Amino acid sequence: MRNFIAAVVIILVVAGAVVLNAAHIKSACGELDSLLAAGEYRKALEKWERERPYMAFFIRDGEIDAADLHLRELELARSRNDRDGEQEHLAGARDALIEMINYESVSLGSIFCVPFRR
Amino acid sequence: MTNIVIRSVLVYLLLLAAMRFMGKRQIGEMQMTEFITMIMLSELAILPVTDTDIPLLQGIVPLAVISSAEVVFSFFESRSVRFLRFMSGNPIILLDSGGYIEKNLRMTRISREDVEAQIRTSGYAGPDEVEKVILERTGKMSVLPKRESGEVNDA
Repeated sequence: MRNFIAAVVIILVVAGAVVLNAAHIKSACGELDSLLAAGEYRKALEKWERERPYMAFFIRDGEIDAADLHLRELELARSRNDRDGEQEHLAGARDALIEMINYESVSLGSIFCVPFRR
Repeated sequence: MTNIVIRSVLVYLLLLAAMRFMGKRQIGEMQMTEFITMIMLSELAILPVTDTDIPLLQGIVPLAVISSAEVVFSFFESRSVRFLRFMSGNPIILLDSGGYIEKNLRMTRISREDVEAQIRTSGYAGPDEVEKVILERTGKMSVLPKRESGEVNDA
């Protein structure tokens, strides 16, 4: 009986944690995307540096590293007035964030299909 | 490499804890849900060990959920015969009073030779000495002797 209660508690806690975690990651990535769209690259990078340690627990290193690279390079490209680089890294950063949002989204497509990756 | 070693130890300890939590001592007597659980646990647990790109939590969380689901299912199986039958099926009689039940042999894809081999393993010469052979939920065959034999052997 004790193990049964523990099992039910574990399932409920995991379910709750998964929902909260997905909401947090989607919210954080959404805010980052909004900052990028508004051209606030420095603020986006600062927010990313605050969120990255948490996200690293739940998201694959490759995706974290991709977002990290593009966000840092974006700031550098702007400071060098490199328009092409800025566009490239802006697109890359937004794609990486969308990838993370999709990773935490639940749908028939996400369950049965491999997500499209560029 | 250090990460892989640490992850290996962690996952191993977590698997031990999961097995202890599920309470299975006789791994050879598994029900269907337990068998599936074992397969899934072994596959899921090894993922973050071999691929350090995957967060360790992606191995731990499914392990915890599947172990807990197994405990919940086995709890209901122990409380409800109907649920047990739904999850694991019924024992199936393969031989009764010396006669094979062909319909059940076909359904379970077990040959007469398999049944006779089990009868011999149980210490009897042939089907004539046996009252019943039953295919249990665990997949093992139980051989019940005729009353005059005086002994009951489980497979």
